[in-house]
Amino acid sequence: MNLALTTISIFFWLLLLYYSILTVTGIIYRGQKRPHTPLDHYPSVSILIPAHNEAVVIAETLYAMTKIKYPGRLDIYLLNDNSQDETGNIASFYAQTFNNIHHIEVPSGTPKGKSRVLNYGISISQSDYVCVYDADNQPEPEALQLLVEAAETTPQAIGAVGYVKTINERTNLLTRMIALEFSSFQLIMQAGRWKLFKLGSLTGTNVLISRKALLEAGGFDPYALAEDADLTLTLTQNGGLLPIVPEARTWEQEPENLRVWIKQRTRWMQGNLYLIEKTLKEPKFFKGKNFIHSSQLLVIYIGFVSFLLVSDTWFVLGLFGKLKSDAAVPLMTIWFESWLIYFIQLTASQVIDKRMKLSDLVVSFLMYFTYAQLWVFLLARGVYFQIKLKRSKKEPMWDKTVRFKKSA
Amino acid sequence: MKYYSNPMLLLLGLLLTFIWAQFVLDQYFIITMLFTMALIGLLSIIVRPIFSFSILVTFILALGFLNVGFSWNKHLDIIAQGMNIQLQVVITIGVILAWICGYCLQSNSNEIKTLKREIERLQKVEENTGFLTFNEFLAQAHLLFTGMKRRKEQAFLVKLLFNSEEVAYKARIINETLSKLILQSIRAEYDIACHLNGTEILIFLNNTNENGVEIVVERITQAIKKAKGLDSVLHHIERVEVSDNWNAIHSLIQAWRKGEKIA
Repeated sequence: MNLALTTISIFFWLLLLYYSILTVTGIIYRGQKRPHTPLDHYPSVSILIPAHNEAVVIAETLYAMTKIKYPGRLDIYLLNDNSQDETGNIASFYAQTFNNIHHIEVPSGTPKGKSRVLNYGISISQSDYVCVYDADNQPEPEALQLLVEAAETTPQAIGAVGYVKTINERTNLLTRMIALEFSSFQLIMQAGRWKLFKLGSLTGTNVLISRKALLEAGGFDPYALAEDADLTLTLTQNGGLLPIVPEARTWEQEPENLRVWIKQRTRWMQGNLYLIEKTLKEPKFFKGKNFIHSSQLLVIYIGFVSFLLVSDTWFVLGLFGKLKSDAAVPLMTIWFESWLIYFIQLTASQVIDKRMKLSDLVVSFLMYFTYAQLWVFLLARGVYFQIKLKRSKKEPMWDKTVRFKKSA
Repeated sequence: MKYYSNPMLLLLGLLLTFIWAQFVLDQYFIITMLFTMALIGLLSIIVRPIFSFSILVTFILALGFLNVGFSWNKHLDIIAQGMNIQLQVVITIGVILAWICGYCLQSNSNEIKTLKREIERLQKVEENTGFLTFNEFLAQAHLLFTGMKRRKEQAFLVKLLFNSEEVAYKARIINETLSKLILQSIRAEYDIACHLNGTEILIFLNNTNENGVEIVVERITQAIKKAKGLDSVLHHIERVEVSDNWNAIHSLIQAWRKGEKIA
C-alpha cells in the first residue's frame, strides 16, 4: 500500500513539476518583446467559418471579419452547413455587400460535423493559407496579420496559433471560470510548451495553417470530434511547427449554463478519447515531438483526472483523520501544493493579462474545489458515450454548442 | 493591479504579515523572509515587471517543492506538515507583497516619466528664456504661414548660429541673455523665436521684406555686440525666404534641427 502510494505521489509530483516549469516558461514567453516583422509580400489567406444554425452570433462574427486588417489577398468563406435559421440570410447580405465575403452552401453529407465542413471549405478555396474561426468568434483587426507574420518568419512553421479570449466572461460564475481556464491553461501552457519544446497545438479557432501542410496531412479527420488536437498530431508528425502568437486575439462566446458546458466538454472529452485510442494504436504518434503531445494527452485526460481523484481522496481521508500520521508520503503538503500550483497558474495568467480583480482571485481560489472537480464527471461521461458510440457502430454525432444572445 | 496597489492596503498587509511571522516563524526564518522580500522587491524595481514576476512565481513554486521535499524526507506527521504549510504561506504572502511594492514603485516612476514627457510636449514657452518650445514654434509658424499666404505677404526665417560654450554655468547665462536680446529685437506681437538646438536660434519674421529682415538682423547684431561678454559669440546668420509650400518649410526646419546641411 505504502509503495503504491509513494509511486503515485512521485508521479503526481513530477506532473506538478512539469506544469510548474511550463507556467514559468509560459510567463517568460508572454513577457518577451517580439518585434513587429512586416513582410515584403503577404500571402493569400482564406478564412473558413463553419456555421450550422448560428443566427444568434453570425452577424457579429461577420461584422468583425469586415474589420480585419490584412495587407494581402483575403477571402472569407461562411460555410453554411444546412442551417435552418437566419444564418443563410445574414451571410447572403454580407456576401452581397462585401466582395471578399462568400456565402457557401455546404452539400449535405456524413459524418456530420466541423471537420467535413472545413474539408469542403478547403476544396472550394484557393489560397496559400487557411485560417479557421468558429462562428461565434470576433477576431481583433490585427490578429490575422500577426498570425501570418509569425508563420512566415518562424523557420519550419506551417501555420500559427492565436489566443482565444472569452467575450461573455462577466455573464456569470461559469463563464468567468471558463475564461480563467482558457487564459491560464490554454495560453500560459501553450506559450510554455512553445518556449520549451517549440510545440504548438491547434485550438480549433484563431488558427492559421498553410494549404500545402493541410493537404499533406489529408485535411481534417471527419471522424474526429476534437479535430484540432487530431490535426496537430499529424502536422507535428510531418515536421511542421505551429508558433504561438499571444498578441493575435479573438473573442469567443463560451457556454453560459452548465448543461451546455457539460455537452460541449463531453464532446471534447470524447474527441480526445478517440485521439488517445488512435495514438495508442499507432506508435508513430509517440515518436519525435509528438511524444510530448501524445504523452500530454494521456496525462491530461487520464493522469490528471486520476490524480485529481487521488488528491480528493487524500483530502477527505485527511479531514476525517483516517490517514496514518506516520505515512511516508506528506499527503497533506502535496495536496496543498497541488492546489497552490493550480491557483498560481490561474492568477499568473490574470497578472499577465493585466486584469486582476478581487472577484477573479476569489474565483481562482475556489476553482480547484469546484470547476476542476467536474473533470472527473466529464471523463466518466465521455467514456460512457464513447463506449456507447463504439458499440452502436454509428458515426459520431457532432453536438453543436448552443449560442447565447448578447445581453443588451 | 491598480486595485492592489493602494498604499494603505499594502502597508496593512505588510504589517499583518510581520505580526503573523512573529508568531509562526523563528528568528532564522524571519531573517530569510526579510532578505527574500528585499531581494524580490529590489528586482521588481530594477527589471521589467514580467521578468520579476516570473522570478516571483519561480520562488513560490520552488518553496512549495522544498516544503514537500523536506516533509517527505523528515516523515512529518499531519500536524507538522500543517505548521510547515503555515510557514510557507507567511513567507509567500510577504514576498508577494514585496513584489507588489516594487512593482508599484516602478510603474509609478514610469508614469511620472511619461507625464513629464507629455508636459514637455504640451509646454508652449521655455521657462527661462521666454522662447517658444520647438513644437509650439512649428504650430505657430504654420498658423502664421497660412495667414501670410492668404494675405499674399512675405515672411523670412533667420537662423543664428552661436559659438558653443563648453562650461555649463556660462552657457546657461549666455543663452538666457541672448534670448532676452533677441526677443527685445523682434516684434513681439508678430514674430516668433525658438531654440533649434544648443547653439542655434530660429526666428520667423512675419509680414516683412528683405529690408525689414536686415533691420532686425542689424538690431540683433548691435545688441549682442553691446552686451557685456557676448561680443564674440555670434558666429553666422542665415536668411531664407519662406516659400509657398509649407511642407518644404517644415522639412527645412526639421533638417536644421537635426543639424543637416541644406544645399
